[in-house]
Amino acid sequence: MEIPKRHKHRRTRHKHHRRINPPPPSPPPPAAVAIPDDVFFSHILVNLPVKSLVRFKAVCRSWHAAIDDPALVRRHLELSRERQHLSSLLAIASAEDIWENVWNDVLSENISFHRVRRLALGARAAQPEVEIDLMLEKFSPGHIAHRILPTHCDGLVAFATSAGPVSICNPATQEFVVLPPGSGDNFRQSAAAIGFDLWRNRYVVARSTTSGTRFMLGGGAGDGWQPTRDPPRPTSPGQGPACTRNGAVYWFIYDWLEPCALLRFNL
Amino acid sequence: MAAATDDAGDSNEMIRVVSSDGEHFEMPEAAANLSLVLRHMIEDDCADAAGIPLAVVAAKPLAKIVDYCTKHAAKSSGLTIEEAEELKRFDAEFIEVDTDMLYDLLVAADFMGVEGLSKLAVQRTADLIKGKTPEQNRETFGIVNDFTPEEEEEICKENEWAFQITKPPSRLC
Repeated sequence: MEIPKRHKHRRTRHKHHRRINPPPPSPPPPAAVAIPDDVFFSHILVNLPVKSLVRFKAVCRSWHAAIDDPALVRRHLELSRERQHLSSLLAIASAEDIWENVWNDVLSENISFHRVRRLALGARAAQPEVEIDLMLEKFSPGHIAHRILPTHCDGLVAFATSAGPVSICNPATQEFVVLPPGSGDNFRQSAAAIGFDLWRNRYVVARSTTSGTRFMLGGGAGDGWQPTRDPPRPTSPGQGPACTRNGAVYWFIYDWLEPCALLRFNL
Repeated sequence: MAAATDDAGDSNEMIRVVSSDGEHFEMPEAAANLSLVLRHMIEDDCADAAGIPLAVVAAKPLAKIVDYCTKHAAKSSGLTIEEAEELKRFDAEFIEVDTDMLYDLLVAADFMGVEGLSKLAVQRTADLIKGKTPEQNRETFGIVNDFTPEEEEEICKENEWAFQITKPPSRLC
């Protein structure tokens, strides 16, 4: 297996598309034929990548309406979940210079989102074929805390920045939202986690604040942050959430006086 | 075919089907059972010597579907890794067809309720069109662009990133 070389991150870097083992030659273009609308909309569209779908909104009105249909979005998500074992999302915060990463452990300048895909194994392939796609890259000098611990939920990524605001990104649709800072607390070094709240039927973000004693729930830009009951033990400042699973966020608690613990926060 | 019949499990009965253009085909019952429609017909005792008529499936795609079902029914359970790989290879070669046949298979598999084949044809079709431009899709599927030039421009502008092959990194803030 070819070992990837480490390159310095360059600001002018273009989107790269790396494939180990070249793809087979592309097939000839199809002639004009008709697939019945119901077959096309219910089977084909839901199996297309998000980028193709967004582009195909420009085909005609009926395609535009079909792609914007919440039912299609839901079905697309279900199918993506089924394929999850083949593809995963990586969020990486890094500095301009790879060596700065080593010395400066507080801030970094960019965050990038990559899709790592295991292609279907070829017949008796000696090595799995892996494809790495740069989905989105955002620069924000001095804003993104180094060693962030982004949390994922259905392809959405939430992370706190050192300047305070929590950002949510959907790399597949290139949407990037900075949540309102909220009031009252100093949010420096807060940590955030995203999960799906079945009861409210929406995505919510939980964050712990500097004081380490309060979780806030934000249900979207319009809702703002709501304080929740204090956890039994304070979370460690600067310590991010461990992960989100099945509607709960697990926070890692680490301090000198008491044993380490995992705090489970039910959304 | 005979070997496939022997492998196909308890039932060695052959099921006859008739295409829309009147051609007759035969496959083991286990193969026919992979199609939801045929299975229901067999359960309802509609499978007789005259054959089950499939009014919307022509002989060409039906011959392929009979091949597919016979192969998959013969290797349905307790697959070794080698057999699973062989079946995958069979699928990959099976779906290497021209687009007319692909779309015929897509529609026929959906109509007959052959899930595996339906998935295979859907994935192949999606792979063929995912890299295309909106204009190429209009040509492929004979679609008329019913947007005004202003509307089309706005959609393209709103979703500029999706139209670019390479994109310089964007800045936050």
